[in-house]
Amino acid sequence: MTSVVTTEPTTVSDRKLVARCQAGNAAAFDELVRRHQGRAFNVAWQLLRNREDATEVAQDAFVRIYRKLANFRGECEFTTWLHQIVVNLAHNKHRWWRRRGRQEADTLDDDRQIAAPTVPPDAVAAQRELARMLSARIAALPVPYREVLVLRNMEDLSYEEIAVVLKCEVGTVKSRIARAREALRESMTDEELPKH
Amino acid sequence: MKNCRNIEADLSALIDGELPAERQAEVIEHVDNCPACARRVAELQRLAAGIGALPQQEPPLQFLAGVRRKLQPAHRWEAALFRPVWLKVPLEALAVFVIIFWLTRTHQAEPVLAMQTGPARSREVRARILSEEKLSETSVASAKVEVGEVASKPFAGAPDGGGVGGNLVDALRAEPPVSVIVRGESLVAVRLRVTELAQTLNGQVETTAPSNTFVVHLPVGKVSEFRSRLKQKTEMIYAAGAAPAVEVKVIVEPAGK
Repeated sequence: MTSVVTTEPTTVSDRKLVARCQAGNAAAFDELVRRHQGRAFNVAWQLLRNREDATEVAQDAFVRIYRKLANFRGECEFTTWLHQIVVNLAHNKHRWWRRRGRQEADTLDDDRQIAAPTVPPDAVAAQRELARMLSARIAALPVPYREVLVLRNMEDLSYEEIAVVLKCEVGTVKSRIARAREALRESMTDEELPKH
Repeated sequence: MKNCRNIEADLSALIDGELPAERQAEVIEHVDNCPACARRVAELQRLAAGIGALPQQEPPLQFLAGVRRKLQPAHRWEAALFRPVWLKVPLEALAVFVIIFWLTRTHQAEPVLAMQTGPARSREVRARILSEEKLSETSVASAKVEVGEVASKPFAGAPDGGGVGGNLVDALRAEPPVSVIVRGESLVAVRLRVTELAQTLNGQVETTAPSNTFVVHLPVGKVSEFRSRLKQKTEMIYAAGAAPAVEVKVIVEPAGK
């Protein structure tokens, strides 16, 4: 007698999880949140530089996704959709703060996030210092530059995906990334450049 | 090199692998032969790698719980209560206005309702007054007040700025049934004023058909006081700056009519 054992892949694709959510499976939505919360939070934090605002924006992004899941037809990847919503909500948050006269610099808390609690060996300390410096330089860039760098170099999105997220042309993405890197390079000394 | 300016814009796309194959070959060929652009490409690669290596920010531990909480219906109400100030403040002001308006209306409605009792109530009031004051039926004076709105139409017989027209004084002084016009800020306000005054003088007010007519029952000797105090009350109101909005026709008839 032969028995057929079917095993489900250990990692279910986002597309399948979305389909399960659309069928009313709440656990599938929880899984989507767990899987992508780090990505959503990190992008939000890179754009807002404030932990509280980033948490709110990232959570609101999932809330919005939950409410619009029924209309999601899978024209783009789930992560592209998520990025799009996070970036939009971060824009809204920027506008919200600007209307209330709060300067963006008031929201920065990267030093608090990156600073090590103990004194590390010199090499590690130097690397941390470079990372802190680079992070601060990125934070000083205009938001449009910052977001293309984050999406390209931290989230590994293609130019085409970034164009979908930002709702602009691929050519715009290409030139914006080039200008952003140019601006970032000009803001740094040779010593501040990452070593490799 | 003279082509550097044309190539520069594509160096960034080159390190991202985002150039079309043909263009990529051109740019690589240039970079291989241009130390400045080669150095530039190396810097861009180090920058990109540095950004990619930056520490990822970790979300709070209760992140998922926060998302669930925001999805609960109760949170929607909470969010609605704490909506943006530009929307919240006018809504709250409107709510306060509606509550105050409703309370004012309720407060004013009570005496009006007291007035709007039928003939049975009239007989009951008359009997009570007669009993309490130990007066005979004939000793009770009645003032019948007919109310009608003639909005914003000035009354020629009334002195400017005066609340009670000169005719009212004359009419109240006279014994036969007469009708005069009283100007007031609103229908309800005039009714309220007349009712309060009548009750102060141990009188009663009732409404008879049609609904805009009501009768004031006053003990003998109180008609004159009613007349002067009504005039005084009305004049005080106008002295405070209230604009007359309605004209009210008052019919006064002696007891027994």
